[in-house]
Amino acid sequence: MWEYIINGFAAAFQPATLLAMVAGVIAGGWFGAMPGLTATMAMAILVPFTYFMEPLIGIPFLLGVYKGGIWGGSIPGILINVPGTGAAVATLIDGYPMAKSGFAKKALLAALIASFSGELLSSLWVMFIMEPLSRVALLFGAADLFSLIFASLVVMATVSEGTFIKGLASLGIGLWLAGIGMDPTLGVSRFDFGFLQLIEGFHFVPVVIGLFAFSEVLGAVINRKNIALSKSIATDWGPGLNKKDLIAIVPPILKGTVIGTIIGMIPAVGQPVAAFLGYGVEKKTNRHPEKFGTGVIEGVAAPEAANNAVNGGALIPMLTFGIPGDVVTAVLLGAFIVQGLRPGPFLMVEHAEMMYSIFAVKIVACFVMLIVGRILIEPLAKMVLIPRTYLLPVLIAFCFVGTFAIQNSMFDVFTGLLFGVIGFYLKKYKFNVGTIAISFLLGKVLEKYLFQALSISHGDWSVFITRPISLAFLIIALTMIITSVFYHFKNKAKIESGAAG
Amino acid sequence: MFLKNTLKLCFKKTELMIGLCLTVFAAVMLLILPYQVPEASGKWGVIMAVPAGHRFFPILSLILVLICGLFIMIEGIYSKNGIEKKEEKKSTEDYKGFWVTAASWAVYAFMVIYIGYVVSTALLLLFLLWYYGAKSMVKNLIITAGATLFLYVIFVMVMKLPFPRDTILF
Repeated sequence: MWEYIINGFAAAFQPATLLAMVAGVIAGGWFGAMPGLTATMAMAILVPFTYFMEPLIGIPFLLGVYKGGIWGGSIPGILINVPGTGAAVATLIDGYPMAKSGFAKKALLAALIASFSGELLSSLWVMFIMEPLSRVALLFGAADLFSLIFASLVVMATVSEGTFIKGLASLGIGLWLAGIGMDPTLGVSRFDFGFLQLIEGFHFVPVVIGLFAFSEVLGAVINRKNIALSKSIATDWGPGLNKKDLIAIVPPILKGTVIGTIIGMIPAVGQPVAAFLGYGVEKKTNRHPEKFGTGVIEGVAAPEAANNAVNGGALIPMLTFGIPGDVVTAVLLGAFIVQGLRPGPFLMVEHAEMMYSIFAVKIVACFVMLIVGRILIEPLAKMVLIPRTYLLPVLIAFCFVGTFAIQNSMFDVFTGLLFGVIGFYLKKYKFNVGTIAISFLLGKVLEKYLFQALSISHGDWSVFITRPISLAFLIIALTMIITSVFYHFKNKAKIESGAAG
Repeated sequence: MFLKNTLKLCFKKTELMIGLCLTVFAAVMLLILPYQVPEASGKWGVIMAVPAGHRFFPILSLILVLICGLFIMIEGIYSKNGIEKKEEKKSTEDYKGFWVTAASWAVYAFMVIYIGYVVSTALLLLFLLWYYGAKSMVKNLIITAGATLFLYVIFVMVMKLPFPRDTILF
């Protein structure tokens, strides 16, 4: 393992790899810093372009985009009280008051250092835990993997935004979309509606660009006159961090990192939850909880460390089982697959050297984010107020090329358009497009494991309950559904009795 | 009459409309499933026939969507809060812009095929900048030229993406 780690760091310090990371952090940071643009959108739009790159250029670039995007969301949150990404909502609770009091630079630097530390520590953890975890994953049979993926999808569907029923409907829609094209067993084409291009089903990238990038752009077009960004961006940066501040942010960073790494391992929970949990825990355990909300540096450091540590934790289920914890990881999973790295139990066995290179890249990318981020803070702060009127057309051109570039196909371009329009309405009516995207991505794998499990057991369905691991995950899925039904009706009764009273 | 009243109610109750759309979608897909998912035939069909065949997953997912749609519909009908007020559309929301943008994407796709990437991109950017309210034509032209050049350098020169027509003109 140590040999692989050393070789991995050697690969990570190649000039082309470093340049890719820098470019990724800049691109991701820019997307994260623009209100209305998200790290998910950045990943969706930029992932097609990595398909033309070597793995050790494309993946570092995407990892840079991911890191830059999550960190970048804190900038508008702190400066103008508008979070650049959902993950930054908790940061602005204390970040914006700090900026208003003349400590914008302190808040921004604290956010950067916390992002760097959270990401670095969770990446180190992932690097050392992956190999033993992969050995555990190898014990999973087809039935266990089916139940694990099924339970993960059910958890995603039931805890996602909107009602659990819409979450389950989103799961159904995603699985149906995954079924379009040739089935993995007999090669029979399903729901192709006569289109030759659908024989292999929809390609993941145009669907993701449509659902996460173009739909957001369409939403931004509708609301472009509503985005009244304050012009009173903090121009008095104030002082930077002193020794006392650096000592003060260590405990919240450590706590936030632990919380974020654990949250990252649970599917569907994601950065916003980790950020709020990190903030809440820090507030409860701090000596001066009454000061939170007025502009304390710990209130910035804790959520930023937590939401960046999620990035590391989310890689664990993704790499060991091929289950993305959130949409951004799902896009990363797609990129891995196209680069010939199929995440799952055999990844560390078949591609150990490549994987340790990627872990090393992830760690080096943290330092790149720290350096590049420090340089970019002021330019990005100035760009926060660029009117959407100028940004949106360029983004549309980017989305267009992203959909076309994958297979040089205009069919994919129209796929992007279709899913953009559908994605907008699904979000408007509180369906979870993240669940749709992930169940679309995992649907064929789920079906493949189902078929394998039934083939091995000669058609005996009891294999799913006689294997203890499989049974445990099915119980989790059933528990999630039952508790969601219970709480749905309990909350409904509360609301309706409140309305009647 | 029942259909007319149901449709009237749908337009007043959003959740009912959503449920109805989901239910109809799933029902239609289930009805056309025998035509869209042919039976496996021949010896491979017999050999590979396991309890979960190639129709299992589509049927399962569509039944899930159908059940959820019906559930949402029933909740919408029996909602004790009465007829929902339609969300007031803000005067600053531009739904027309939504459809113009979507249509522009489609027109852009055809233009790229028949005219070429660079000219089509320049026309798209210019049109959208104007439509979204960027008033200064000089600024729009500068942004269009700059953005088109940037996109050309990245996608055509660096990534060498093969667009359907020649990249510049015809």
